[in-house]
Amino acid sequence: MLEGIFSGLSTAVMPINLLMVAVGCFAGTFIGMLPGLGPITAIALMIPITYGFDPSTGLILMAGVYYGAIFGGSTSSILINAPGVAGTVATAFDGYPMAQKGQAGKALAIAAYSSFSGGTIAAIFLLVAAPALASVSLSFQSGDYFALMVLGLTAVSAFAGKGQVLKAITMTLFGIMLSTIGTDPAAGVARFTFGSVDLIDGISFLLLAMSTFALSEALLSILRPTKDTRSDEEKALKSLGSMKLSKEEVKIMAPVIGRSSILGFFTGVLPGAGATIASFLAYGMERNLASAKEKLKFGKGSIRGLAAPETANNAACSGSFVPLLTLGIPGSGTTAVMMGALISYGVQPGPRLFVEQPAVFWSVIISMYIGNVVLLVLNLPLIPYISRLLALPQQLLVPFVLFFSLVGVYLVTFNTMDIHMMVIAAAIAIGLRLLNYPMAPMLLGFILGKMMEENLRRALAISDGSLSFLWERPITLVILIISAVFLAAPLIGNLREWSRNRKTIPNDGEF
Amino acid sequence: MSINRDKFGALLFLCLALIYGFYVSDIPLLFGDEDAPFNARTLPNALAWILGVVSFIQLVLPANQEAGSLSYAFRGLKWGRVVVLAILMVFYGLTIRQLGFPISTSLFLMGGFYTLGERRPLVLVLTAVLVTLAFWGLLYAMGIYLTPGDFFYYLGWMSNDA
Repeated sequence: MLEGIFSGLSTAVMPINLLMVAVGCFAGTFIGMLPGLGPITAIALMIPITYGFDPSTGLILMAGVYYGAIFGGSTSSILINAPGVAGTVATAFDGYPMAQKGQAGKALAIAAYSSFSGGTIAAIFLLVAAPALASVSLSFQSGDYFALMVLGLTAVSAFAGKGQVLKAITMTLFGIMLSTIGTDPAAGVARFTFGSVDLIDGISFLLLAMSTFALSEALLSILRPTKDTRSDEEKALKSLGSMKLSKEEVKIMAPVIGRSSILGFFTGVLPGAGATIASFLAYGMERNLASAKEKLKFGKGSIRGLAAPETANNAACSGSFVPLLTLGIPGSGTTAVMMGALISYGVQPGPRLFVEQPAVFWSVIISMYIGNVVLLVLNLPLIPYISRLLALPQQLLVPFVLFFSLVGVYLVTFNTMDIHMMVIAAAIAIGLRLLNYPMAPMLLGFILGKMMEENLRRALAISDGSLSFLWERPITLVILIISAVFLAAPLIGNLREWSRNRKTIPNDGEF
Repeated sequence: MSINRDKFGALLFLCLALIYGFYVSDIPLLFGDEDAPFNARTLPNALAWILGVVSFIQLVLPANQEAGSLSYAFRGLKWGRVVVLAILMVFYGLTIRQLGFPISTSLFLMGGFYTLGERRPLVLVLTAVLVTLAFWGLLYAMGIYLTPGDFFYYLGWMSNDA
């Protein structure tokens, strides 16, 4: 393990990789601050740039973008109460009231220190947990992998918001359906290609990610114009106030950071649960633990209320790398995009990654520390300067996002048909977004669909066509039972709520 | 009576499940694969059934009032500029080979800026052309060469001899 850590360290501190961490953090912070664009878009836009690099460098850049986007989202949450990223919604609860009191600088500093500490502590957990889990997962068989993928997909649906469970399941299934387009890898027969040569290889992952996130988010910002908050953000940055924290404030923050890091990391490890759930859980936990007097401060600029979600969301980002790096199963939309990128570099994430490509495995973990340092040392003091980039008018910004998305996909295949397919996919994505369907489960379904089919096929072949592999090994059975619980719990909750509502609210004739 | 947004979505996916399920029978099977425990049609078949059942459940369950009506979801949207941008993207795809990367990209960016309200000619042209050339140069430096376009070869301004 030590050998691996040193190899990772030597890769991570290479000048190009250090540069990429910094570039990733800056780019992520900038994109995260933009209203409507989240970390998935930020990472997707980076993928074409990373094709010229080593897998380690590419992944390091994307990890930096991920951290940066979450931090950028926190900045707009604190300054103008407009979270750019769902994971930073809870940050606004106490961050924005602090900024209104003229303590925006302090709030940003608390957010940065909490993110740094949460990210660093979680990266230490990752250092210990990932290799341990990777060695355990080496004994996993096809049936176990199939069960794990089912767990990943059901968990995404289970953690979907209120009333969104069936929609998340639908989108997951839709994603798996899209993954079946193209040549069946085992039989070599074409499926759903309708005679088109362009579909023989299936739909490209990058095309799907770019069109359903970057393109559709940029177009939605035009379709459904929201208040342009960038001038407010600039104004707020002009009156930041001091960024220094007193000893008492640090003392208040320290135990919160400890607790929230642990909670955030383990929430991040769970497939489906990510930075958003972690931040809300940490906020709720701190509020419950606070004394009656302290509780009153929550929502009015409490330091604990700001430090908890900020620590937890960054810890969850690190935690979400555990299933990706050790099992090859992405636990969130963001890590699904990273996994897609890794596969296109020719690197298969999973337990063998730890054995076969220790440099990639360890350099990503080490670069997380470096990323956190960059965020704290460079991004925090430079926030006012980074935000000046926000002055770029929307009429220029949106065509640039469209151009980078289109050309990013075109540069991989040099097939103009891909550009047209992107327009169609973006139009479908916009329609689905307007109907309130979540996009991340679709991406996850698309990524896991092929792997799930492959593992199911192999498991059935090994068990001679019998489904007994589902219950023969205790681990497979346990994972499947957990999946069933994940799936059933919110559905039962929804059904109960619907039946309650049915009794109380008369139907007004709406179909 | 207006249709609920969630119900409309469920209806769309139910149709998708039916169409997808219909085309599963078009997937060719290798000799002897019909009786295999897992063949190229197994997963698509299962997916069609599961999606059909899930969307049917969503369709028959009581409407989620919070979702609102379909007309409400699509109200007040600025479709015009989005449609123009979509046309520009299609145009970009059609011309990137013929006109070449520099010209089609510059035109696409200029069109995009104009559609979204930029009217200053200097900003419009200079930003588009400079960004395009800078990106083209960056790609060249990275070893990716994009041809200036078939159009120039037809005119005889460029030759394929190199």
